[in-house]
Amino acid sequence: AHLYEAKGPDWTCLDGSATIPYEAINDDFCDCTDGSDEPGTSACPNSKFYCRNVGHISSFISSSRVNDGVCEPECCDGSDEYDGKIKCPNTCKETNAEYTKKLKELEKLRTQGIRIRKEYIEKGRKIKTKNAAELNRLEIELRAAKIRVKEREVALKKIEDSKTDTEQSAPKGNRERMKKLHERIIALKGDINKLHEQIDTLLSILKDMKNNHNQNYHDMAVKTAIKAYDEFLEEYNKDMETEDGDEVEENYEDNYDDIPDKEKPQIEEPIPSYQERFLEILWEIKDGVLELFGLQDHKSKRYHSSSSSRDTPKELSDARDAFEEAEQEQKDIENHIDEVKSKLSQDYGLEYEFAALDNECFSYDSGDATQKSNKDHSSTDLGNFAKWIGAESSNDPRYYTRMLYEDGARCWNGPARSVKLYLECGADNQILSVSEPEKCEYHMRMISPAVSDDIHNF
Amino acid sequence: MKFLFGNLKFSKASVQTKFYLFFLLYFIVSALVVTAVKRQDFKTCEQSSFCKRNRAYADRLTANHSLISHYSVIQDSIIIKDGIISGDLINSENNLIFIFELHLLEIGAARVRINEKNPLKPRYDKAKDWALIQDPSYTLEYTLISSKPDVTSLSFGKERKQAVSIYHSPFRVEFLVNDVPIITLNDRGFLNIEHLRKQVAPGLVDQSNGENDKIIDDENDLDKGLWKETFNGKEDSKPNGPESIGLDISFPGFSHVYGIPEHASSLSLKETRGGDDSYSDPYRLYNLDVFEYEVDNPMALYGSIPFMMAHRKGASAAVLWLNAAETWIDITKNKEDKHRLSSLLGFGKLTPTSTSAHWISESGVIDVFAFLGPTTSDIFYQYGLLTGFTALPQSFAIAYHQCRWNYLNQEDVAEVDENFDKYDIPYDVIWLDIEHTDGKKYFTWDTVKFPTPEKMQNNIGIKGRKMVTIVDPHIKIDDNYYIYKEAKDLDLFVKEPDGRVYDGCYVNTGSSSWVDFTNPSAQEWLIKKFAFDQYKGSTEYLFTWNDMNEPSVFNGPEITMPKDLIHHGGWEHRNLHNIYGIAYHSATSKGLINRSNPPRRPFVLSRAFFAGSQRYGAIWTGDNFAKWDHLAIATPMLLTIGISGLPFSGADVGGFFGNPDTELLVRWYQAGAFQPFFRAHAHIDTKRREPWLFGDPYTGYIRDIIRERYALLPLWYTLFHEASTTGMPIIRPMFTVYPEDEETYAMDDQFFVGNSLLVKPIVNEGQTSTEVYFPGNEIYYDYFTHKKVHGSGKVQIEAPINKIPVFLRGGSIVPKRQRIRRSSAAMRTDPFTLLIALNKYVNDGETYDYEKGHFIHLQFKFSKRKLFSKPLSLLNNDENLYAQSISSVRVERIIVLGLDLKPKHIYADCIDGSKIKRELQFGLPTTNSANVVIIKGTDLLITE
Repeated sequence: AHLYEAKGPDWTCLDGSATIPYEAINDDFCDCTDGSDEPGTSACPNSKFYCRNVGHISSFISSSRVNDGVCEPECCDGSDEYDGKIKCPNTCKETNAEYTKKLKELEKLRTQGIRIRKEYIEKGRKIKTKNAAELNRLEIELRAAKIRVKEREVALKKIEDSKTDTEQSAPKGNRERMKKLHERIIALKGDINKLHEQIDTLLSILKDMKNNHNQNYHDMAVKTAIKAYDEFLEEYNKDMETEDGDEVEENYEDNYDDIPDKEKPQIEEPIPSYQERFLEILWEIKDGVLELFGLQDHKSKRYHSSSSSRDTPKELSDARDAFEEAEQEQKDIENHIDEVKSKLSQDYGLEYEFAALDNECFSYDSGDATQKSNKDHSSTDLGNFAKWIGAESSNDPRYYTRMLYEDGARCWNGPARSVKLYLECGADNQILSVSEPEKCEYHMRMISPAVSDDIHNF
Repeated sequence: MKFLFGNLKFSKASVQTKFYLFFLLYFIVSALVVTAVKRQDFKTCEQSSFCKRNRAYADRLTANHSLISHYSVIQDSIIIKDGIISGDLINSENNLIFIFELHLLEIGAARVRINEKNPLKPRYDKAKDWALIQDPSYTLEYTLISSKPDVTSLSFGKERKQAVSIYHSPFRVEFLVNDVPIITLNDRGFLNIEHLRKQVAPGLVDQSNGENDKIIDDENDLDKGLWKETFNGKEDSKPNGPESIGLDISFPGFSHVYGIPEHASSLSLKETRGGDDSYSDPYRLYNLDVFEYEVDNPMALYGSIPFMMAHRKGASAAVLWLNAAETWIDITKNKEDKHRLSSLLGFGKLTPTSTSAHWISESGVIDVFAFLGPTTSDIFYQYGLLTGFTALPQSFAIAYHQCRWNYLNQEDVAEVDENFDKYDIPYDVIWLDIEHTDGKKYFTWDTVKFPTPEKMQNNIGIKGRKMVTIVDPHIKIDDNYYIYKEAKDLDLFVKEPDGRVYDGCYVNTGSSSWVDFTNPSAQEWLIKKFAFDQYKGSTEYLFTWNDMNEPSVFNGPEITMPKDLIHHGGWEHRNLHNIYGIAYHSATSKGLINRSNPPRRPFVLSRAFFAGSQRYGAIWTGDNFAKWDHLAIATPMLLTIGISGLPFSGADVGGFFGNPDTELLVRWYQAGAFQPFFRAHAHIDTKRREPWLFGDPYTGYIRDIIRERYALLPLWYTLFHEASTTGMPIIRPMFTVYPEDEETYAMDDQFFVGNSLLVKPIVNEGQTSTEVYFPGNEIYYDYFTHKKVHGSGKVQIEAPINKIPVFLRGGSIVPKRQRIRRSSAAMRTDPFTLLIALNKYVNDGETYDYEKGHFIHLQFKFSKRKLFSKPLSLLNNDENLYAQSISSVRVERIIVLGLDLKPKHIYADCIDGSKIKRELQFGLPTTNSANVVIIKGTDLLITE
């Protein structure tokens, strides 16, 4: 208030922008550029109004809230409305009582939260130590596994070399094998035909959708699907044209037995790779369609090419199995190491406090929708943890209050699903709300003791 | 599978399983591909049999100069009585008799009606019941000039400056002002009334009446579609056969015509018979829900106003073709005047262009109003007297509206509301689209998302804000839905030709029926449904949005109702299609008025409209696109709608479909802030785009321009008052303010707000300067900097991203309020700032008390260095409650631009000397190059 002391007939704005008569202070006309001449009126839009709020905590409100017909909760003394338009009661006593009560509750929660958080940090440290030890152990194991693989590879090579001659002198066994392969090809061709029929069915379903949908409904999804169908069809037809060239070969294969062995082709890929790829896609589409119509039971049993069992002597097969087993073991260990490493490099917070929550499952029920972490077969992938986004820098305490999950299941009409998870401190872990402010971008609010409490100033 | 650092999953109700189908296809497609309007969904003239027949009829007459109109006045049939000239016409082709009437009206207009003399059954004639406030009264101020065998002429109007000549053979009507013809009917002989007939045998036409009925034309397949026509596999049964009407209406000497909204087209209408910068199809009026409409196209859109205005130096004229059926309008311009009229015009060596419109409607009677001006403001007034003036809205309606399909739930609404406060951006209304309902059943709430709608509305209402919910006309077929049940029990639905209730499809609701709002009982019923005890969860803070009232029917022909459906009185839908929307709008509007006692002004936004819709509320330009060309087309579209009597209109800010980038969004807000209805809206599939989501500087730019809208609300309100009493548009085409400046006649990328602000929105990506045309000899000031514009005519103006070019026209006084608060209601008693003004109008912005004189209307005049304030309403009358309620409101500041000398003293005075002369303080801002004086008016009361 000393800024407004009368030191003469005139007064100079706090920013020096003007000198005005002392009476012009709070005369409901804005004279100063910085609005400093009108701390008690709404005349200067960039000024602040001071509410004394005796009995509670004083506060400032924007001058645009003065005499606007609304009792500001920030001014419990009602001093913001004085032109008679509305009477704002003084509620400072009640407000303060409530505030004090809330403060106490928060303090209690805070103490509780700090305790749990300490546990989490402890747990996190243990996990970290455990993971480090695990990594150490696995690395030793890996060295051993590598040696084993090497040994068995040598052993296998040895047997194979000795067998080569024998195999070459056994055309009959080979022929037998070829015949089996041929049978498989026939069976596979049957599968392909069946798949083609199913493709046709699916295409006709999509075609019906394309022809019968309402072109004027603003459904981007349907439009996009139709566009995709058109493009698919184009590529598919193109591909089918080139497929036609294989016709001769197929006939030639039909009479396999009549062909001299020497001329028999080495058949490694019974289905061209592109076709295989989109057949795979179509399988999935078909299952999707079936699911859409509630016909999961009719879902196709997918074709999987199993490695053909070879008619090899036991000695050789044992050696091969042993080698493969060792190789698998090495791979498993490597995967395990990657996993542990990724855990170790994961950003579990400043004090590793979030590690305790890794793999935990929380659920949220919001009337018509259920939110769960996993275990539900009809769930939709919402995304994987990408990063912390609470603040620019990890030094900012707010950094660990917001998480971003990305690359979830792609929406039928646009982006991959993603989630922004807003964390607040609390005494337990609880999802407060889930919303979808725009299509396929979810916002969740959650409380957790893992969140540091010093970011909250009441 | 991890929660925190792994993978999140979401399991919802089974509806989500269908996602898979499309989701997997995404392996093949990578980009979201958007296609534009499906033109093939909508008819061309060629595909609409009556349009094709009438065009062919016109072509035959045009090709063969010896052919003239087949219609002529029967000798001695003309009777002149009490302002009505009537007579019989005969069609020489089939000897059928028609009756015509010409009414001379008190409002400075004339009306021509033509109908069959003895129709097989009555032809539809009820469009007038919806468009006109009442049957206009006839004037007795007329004098018969000549009554010869070949022509009957009368002059009329108090000064007898207007005249009409009826030429008998062929039949032709010519309207003249000061002896110069300005409107001619049937000048080109296209008058054609397909008489009602009986179907003799399928595909054949009853020829008993005529020797050679010209409808039969094997060469052009013109006999097809007479009794049945099919479009896109949907059949129109047409039990009444052909019944179309056609007439050419010419504006001799006029090269520019305007109006006939709604089209995404230019202000000055284009020719429609091919050629450079012309369309090949006529402009079409048929209210349709057109998905992602194309710009620069004569295709029909959501609303129809069959009003056309012509303007040239010294004269303006207009017509209203009062017909609610599907209508097509061909426009042609003749450079070398081939018309038979040329000699009469007397333009000397000038070779004036004449513009002619060929109006074609599917059914009904010919009912044409001719407005004779002579100025555009005269026409706006005449048209307003006929169809009604804009209803004065509540003040919140002209502030800023925040909409999205959809704000999800109460928390979402609260958060958006709070963020406006947090970011210090004012707004008045938050909108809820269809998702707020229980399963798209209007008048209900989704109780999970909106458990306490009253509480939600009160929370925002306390801050002076309002809410709008959507109420659409399709009614979900569900016996447990009270609205459906009631309408069914009262037998209010539109029927199939066989009498069953029509069951159409609306994607969001599934199977639906449509209430027939042309039925008076349906009007009455709907009006009651808005009562607070009927519409559960509604409060006085809640207002209404009528969407889909074209009507939009997703499985119908051209996405609307089949034409052979039956309405009240047995009338087929084809007769009244274009008034379905206004009928719904009218009932909704009356419902909102009636729910309060005393009544309060309603607010209802409608998508479909017709002549007269201005009486019921605002309209918007429908589902536009977040693209620059859609931002650009909004200006001519809104100017056109505005001069057609419906000035309360806007375009969705940001564009409904698609995601605008920040530049487009900022530019759209800048344009929207200077359009009468200012609402941001977005499709459900778009990204969120509330103003604060973009960060500074963009959020700041959006905040600045919304706040400027609030500062200017007194000006907007004054203009709405003007519109509601004089019919003047709120945003005005350049030619209406500078009618003598030919340069402005086709100008539609800049406009005036009232007569004082010149606005040119920036509508191109990356553009930072633009050429603005400054008409007249006035001085213009930059509205934002108060700097004088140097030069006149075309001047290049800087327009960086944070600035829309807006200029204050010298000689005007603009009332403002410079204390921006969070809503218009919160600014109600704030002092005014005057920035050079003509008219200022204020009232309480909410009730109907202004009709009883409870308002303040001041005229400010600045001359001889004195500012005069003259009340146009009674101020000191004890009866003026509004004046009393704001008796302490001041004019806090008067800013005078362009004073040549620096003043030494400024005084306030009262004319009646009741108060002592006071000296006022003033300041001369040093930062500004213009000669600006800011007068501090701390004790000047607005009511003084």
